[in-house]
Amino acid sequence: MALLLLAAVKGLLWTVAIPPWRAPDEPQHFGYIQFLSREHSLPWIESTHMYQDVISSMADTKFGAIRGQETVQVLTTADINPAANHPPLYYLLMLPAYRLARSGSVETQVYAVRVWGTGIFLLLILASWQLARLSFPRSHYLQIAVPLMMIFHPQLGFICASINNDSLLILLFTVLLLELVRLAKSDFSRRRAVLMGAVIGLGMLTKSSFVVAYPLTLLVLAVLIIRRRSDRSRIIRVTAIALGISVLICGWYYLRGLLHTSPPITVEKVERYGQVGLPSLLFSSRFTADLIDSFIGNFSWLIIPLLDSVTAWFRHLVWLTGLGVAVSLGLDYFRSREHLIVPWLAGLYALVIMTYFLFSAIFEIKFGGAQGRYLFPAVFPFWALFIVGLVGWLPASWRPRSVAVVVTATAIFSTWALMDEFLPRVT
Amino acid sequence: MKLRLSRSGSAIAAVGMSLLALVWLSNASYQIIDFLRVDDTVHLPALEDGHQVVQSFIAPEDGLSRVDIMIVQGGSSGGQVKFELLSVSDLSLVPDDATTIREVHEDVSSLESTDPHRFEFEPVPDSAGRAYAVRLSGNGETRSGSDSLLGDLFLDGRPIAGDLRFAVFHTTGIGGLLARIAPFRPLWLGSSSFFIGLFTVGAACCGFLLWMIAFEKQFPNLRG
Repeated sequence: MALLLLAAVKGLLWTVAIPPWRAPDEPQHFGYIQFLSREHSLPWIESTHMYQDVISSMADTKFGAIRGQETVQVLTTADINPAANHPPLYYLLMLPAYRLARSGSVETQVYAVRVWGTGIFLLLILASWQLARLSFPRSHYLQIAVPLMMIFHPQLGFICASINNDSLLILLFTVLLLELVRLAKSDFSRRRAVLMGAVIGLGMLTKSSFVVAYPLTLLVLAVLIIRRRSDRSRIIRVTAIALGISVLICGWYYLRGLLHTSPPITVEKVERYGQVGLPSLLFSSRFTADLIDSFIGNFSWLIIPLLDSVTAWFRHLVWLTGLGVAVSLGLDYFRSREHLIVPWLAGLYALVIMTYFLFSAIFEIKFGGAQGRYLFPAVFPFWALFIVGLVGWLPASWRPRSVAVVVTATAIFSTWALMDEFLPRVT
Repeated sequence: MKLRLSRSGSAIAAVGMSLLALVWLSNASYQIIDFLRVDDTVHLPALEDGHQVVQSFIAPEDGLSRVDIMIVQGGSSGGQVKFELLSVSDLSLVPDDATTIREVHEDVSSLESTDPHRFEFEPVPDSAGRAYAVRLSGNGETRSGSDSLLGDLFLDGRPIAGDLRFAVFHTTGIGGLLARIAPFRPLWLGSSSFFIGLFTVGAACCGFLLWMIAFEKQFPNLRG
């Protein structure tokens, strides 16, 4: 209960702190909701344009100030709304809040949608708490600490408080992880299979990047088939049901896209690291540093980065915790009664993080402009392994208070990011 | 006994944290951005020995206390950058003997990032509406990217087109900070008391949860 209350507080603080349109692509995402309400149909990208009231509001709220200009018209009604390329689930869920505030100003509608969207953040924290209970059944302090780290994660709070389909994507991927862990703990029931399929289907109706869930789920199921020979037929049944349900839920949307012939939309690539291949990019320290920096905090339209010395310190800590996880697992081999996390779960979480890191690198090569929020579906695995890496190698009796120190430091960091970095610097 | 300790302990932690939050909020000071110049800025040559760049501007608020300037390392990482805040009477004429009212020295090696460097100094009390200039000079190799806002840009005393890429900040208390979140928020969302109330409730929850983490053995329900 206290976790949910704190999550609500955090969500609302960010909601009111962010001026209208000062979150990535917020005018475009809001434009999608407007389209649903006004046209009563799903948008096609080539015929969906920005609405005049949003453009006027951007001028009224001095959007140009983010680039240091008094007046700047960033968008026109002739501009295509690129958000129209996204599946509709998130926007349909936000529609009631928009309609409720329809008689108010555009800014009132924006805040109504943001406040309504805070509910997604609450559900994310609830799902994370459930996942933490499964991940750390004997370490009760971690069941609170990992969701707390997510609450105090500055960029996660910023993105989840803004109008952006990433928040629902993160929630559904975390629920999928919850289902996968339940499955891996030998729950091969039909109910589990249906739930897993439903979550994947809904995820695909939220953002197409959820497609990462298919290979990941199939990999987990393949490992289970190899390791649990006696349950092979039940696992195959789970696989078939989950795939079938997911395709039933989202198939119509992608089929609709396949059957629709539209003129090609050219997207200008943002070239930041030169024309390099995937291996060079993966091992480029600048790409990794930029990704980690915008993962922890780079606000507004990526123009309010946290202090470089702080993010550099965080980057070092990330590598250190990676080493810490390895040391913890090694030590656990000799002191099995004290282990924090079982090796297969640590492996699964590391795999999820690496998968999204790879996905971000591929996105960077194809389109450019990859950001830390593209790693957010792996946000639970990240903070779970982060804490294990920091305290897992300590004697068991030292861990709870060490975790309390880590969480306190993160709370101070989070407050500093909001009160000293974002609010004073947002224009 | 344990249960009583857990209840009283977590209650004390919650109340203590919310009081701490209130005290901190009422005493903290914040450096708030006044204006930012990002677009249409110029790239200048390296600030080697003897060279200097001057950017003039008008401070919109009292308490001018920080200027962020896009300045990066050039060929070497040795030497120092001297930052001076000058009080001037004319934006377009910055004499060599203008009064230096604040001065900051930074090692060139500290200019590692691709983000603007923060030059922080003691707040200037009556700065609102007055003309100032920042003068950068160095004995190491540095380059300054881009253009300026309300004033002019001078390189070695000669006016040149464009501005530095820079931002100006002033220092204020919690009232000044929360005044920024008032516009455009409907109902009570823009009110200071709502923000402070939320912050205090959040601090209380945080104190309660931290106590639970640190003393988890006192919470039999949690363990069960």
